[in-house]
Amino acid sequence: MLAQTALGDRAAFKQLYSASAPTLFGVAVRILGKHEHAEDVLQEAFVSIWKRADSYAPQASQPMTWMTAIVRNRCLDHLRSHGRHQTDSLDDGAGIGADDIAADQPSALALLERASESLQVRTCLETIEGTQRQSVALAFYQGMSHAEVAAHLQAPIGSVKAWIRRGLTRIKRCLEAGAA
Amino acid sequence: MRPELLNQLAGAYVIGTLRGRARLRFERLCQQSPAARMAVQTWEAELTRLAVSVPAREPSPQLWQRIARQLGHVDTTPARNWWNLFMPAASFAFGLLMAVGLMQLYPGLLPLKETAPPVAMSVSANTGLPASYVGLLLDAQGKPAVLASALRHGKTLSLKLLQAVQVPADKVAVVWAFSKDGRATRLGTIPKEGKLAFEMANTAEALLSATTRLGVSFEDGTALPNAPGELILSGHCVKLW
Repeated sequence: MLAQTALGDRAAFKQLYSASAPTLFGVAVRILGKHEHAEDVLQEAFVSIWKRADSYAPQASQPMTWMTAIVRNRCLDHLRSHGRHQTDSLDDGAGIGADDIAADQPSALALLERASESLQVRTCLETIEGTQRQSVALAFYQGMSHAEVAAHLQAPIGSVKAWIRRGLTRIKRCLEAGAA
Repeated sequence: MRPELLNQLAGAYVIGTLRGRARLRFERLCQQSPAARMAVQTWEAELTRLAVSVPAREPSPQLWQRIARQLGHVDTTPARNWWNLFMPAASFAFGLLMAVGLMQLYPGLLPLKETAPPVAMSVSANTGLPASYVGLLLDAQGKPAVLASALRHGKTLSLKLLQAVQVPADKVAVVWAFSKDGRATRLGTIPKEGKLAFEMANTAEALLSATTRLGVSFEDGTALPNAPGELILSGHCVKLW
């Protein structure tokens, strides 16, 4: 569908949207916390996907990975431009995004654990220190900055930077090993 | 720039902790440096896979209209309505299917009975993770008939009927996977009753990674062939993750 979209096939683009929008919307809602903001970002993302479909390189990543990266980057741009709204909670789990997010949403760490199961890297990830895993999870799933993670974990920002730097490297090694 | 530093910056950029002016400078670097772009692509290819566990959510129906309007596309609402019929509200990869009428797969003395709740697109009830492989099979008129899905490392192919499919009483409905060069692999037989799913001989990753299309044919149940007869349903199969 992405290849056909790159050729200007509008029907294929619509199918691509229908197939991927709920997953991508979920990613955006998780980071931004509000449906309205997430829809704005998703709209920008799909416009970008339509315009950039010919730049997608199949050998570099799967279509969904490519599109998810576009959505995440747009979310991070949105946070940079608009900030995290005062009504948006940074609670790791139940309080995310105030109005729009159900109280029973899994925590960022739980999402990381579920991903590790799906990607069959759980054993590897469990060897990584808990603070590193949680810091990376908060940054990845909720788009938290170093300062926000530090505030959430009530830890020095220098420690958080080190946790994320080391945790990222180790998680990437696990994912690369798991994909092999 | 030292490769280690470039790698570190690329990781921070992808996860999102590289902020402010540093992020803008790195984006400019990526425009100029193939090495920086490659580093970002490498991080994205791995790290973004973690998003597989994020629950899917259904955007408002108006979102597609806004996208189409912004791009100046013609509104194709009728086709979207077909997708709406099987877009779940709370499932993961595509959302839940809305039941479309009575699902009667086998006629006569073998009416379809779903003794279990409809199988959600996220096959694993325990993890609720989104399907990696998804196929939409159309009938001869081009209308959606069956939605097939499987987790990447799972062996279960789950099916959802989008319209009644009449199978002759002396036949069984067989699902096939077709590679780009047209080679056919028999995946399994659609059950006559109960949960609309079956176990494949291997994981979806092993069987479907090279698959571009799925098809359904009606075959003699006593001696299943290695190649399909006339395809009653067929459609694209894609890998989302």
